[in-house]
Amino acid sequence: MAEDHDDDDLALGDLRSVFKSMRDSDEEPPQTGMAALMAAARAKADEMKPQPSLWERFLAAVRRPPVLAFATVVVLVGGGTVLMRHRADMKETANVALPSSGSTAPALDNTPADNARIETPTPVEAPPPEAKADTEPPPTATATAKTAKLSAKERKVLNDQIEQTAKDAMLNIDVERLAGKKKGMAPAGPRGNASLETEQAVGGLDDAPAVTKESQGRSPDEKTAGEAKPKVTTAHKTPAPQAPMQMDPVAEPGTPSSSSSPSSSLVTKWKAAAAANNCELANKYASQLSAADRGLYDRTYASDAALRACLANK
Amino acid sequence: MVLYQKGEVRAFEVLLTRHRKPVYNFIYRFVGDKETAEDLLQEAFMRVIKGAEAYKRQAKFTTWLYTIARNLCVDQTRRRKHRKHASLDAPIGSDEESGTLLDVIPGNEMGADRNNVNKQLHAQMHKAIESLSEEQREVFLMREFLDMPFKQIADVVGVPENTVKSRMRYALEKLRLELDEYKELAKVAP
Repeated sequence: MAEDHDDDDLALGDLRSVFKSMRDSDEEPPQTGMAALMAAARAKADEMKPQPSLWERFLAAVRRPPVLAFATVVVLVGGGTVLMRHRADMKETANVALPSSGSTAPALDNTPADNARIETPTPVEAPPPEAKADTEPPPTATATAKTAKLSAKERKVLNDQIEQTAKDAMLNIDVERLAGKKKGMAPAGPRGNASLETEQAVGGLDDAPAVTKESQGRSPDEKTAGEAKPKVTTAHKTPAPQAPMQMDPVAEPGTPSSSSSPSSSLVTKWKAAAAANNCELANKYASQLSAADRGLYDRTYASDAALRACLANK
Repeated sequence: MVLYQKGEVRAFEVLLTRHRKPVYNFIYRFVGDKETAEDLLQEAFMRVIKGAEAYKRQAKFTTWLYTIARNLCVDQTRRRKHRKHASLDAPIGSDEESGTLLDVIPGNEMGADRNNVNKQLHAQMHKAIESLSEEQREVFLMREFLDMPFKQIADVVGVPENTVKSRMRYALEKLRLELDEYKELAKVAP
């Protein structure tokens, strides 16, 4: 500044003192219009104030008491709802898992097709065990309830099947065992049958109660004949007069029953006629049998006293 | 000014308090009319408020402020191109108390009163400043009454620094011629 003044005309030094005195006597400007000026300045300052960021505005809004109270209520209600739903799901899962503990497939493995199959079950046809395992229901409330009903039905059907299968298996075992016994004992005669009866009586065979029951109240011969039959039930249904015919002591072991052959029918008729004291008819059948099968005739004649008496009356 | 840009009204109050008086006197000496100076002062600060967002710290605030004030003064004087020449019996200032030019022009006898001398000198100085051209006057006012460096004056006026110096030299030359007869009076002035 001083250097600048050096450039000025030094001759104006006296005038500069006048300028200085004029500057010292500067007037204060009037206050008119100052209020309007400050009002405009305030308005402009409000415009220029930096806007708070979205995050700051969000925090300011969240800090307000009503918002805090609302958020608290929402959290409590939502948490309670989630807990209740989870608890219900756990109960239903436990109910489903109890009856079919072996087939607890996860819910994620189920496809929508499987779920549809679960929701529209066929009550008559029970699904195979593999399909049942595949169609394990998801842990939702409705699907689990339907699956629980299905499981009960399926369980019933399966139990019936299992019982039937067990019965069949037991019968097959009985038949095989009886067939085996018959193979080994038939040649031994009534004595071998007696040993079988004894074995059954002491519990050597823990199954085939029907056979034991049928064998009670019969003669040893009848028991042997009945046990020799492959089908126990057919022996049970045989009429009483024909029972001696089935207990043919001369029947060859392993051969089919002689009741169906013409000779055996003649024997039956012969015995029936002799039992009815119709000796004439009995003798007729005897002559026919003698002509057809001499050996059988001799054995039958030797085994039955009534036949001999009828022939003697002749 | 930066604080005001951030919304601090208090910062603008400080600016207003600091610059109101020199700006007002600059405008008053430029246009020579108190009422016009008041209006232009308010208008200058209104423009500061409106343009606050556009202000950048690259320039000094005073440079920006006096640029606004100078432009307002130039516009005002151009609007008064048809102004009349100063009347000898018209008041020098806007108020009646300032007296007429005839009163301050010394007669053959010198006033004994120092106040009267100062008054005469100030009135003569106003007259001499008004006789300067616009370019010389604005440079002279900023240089002698605001103590601005030539560089800043050049920024305000928008001309090269050497041009400012040249204008200043011509202004002082003219003032010296105008006030030559008052050289002795200036020596006795306080």
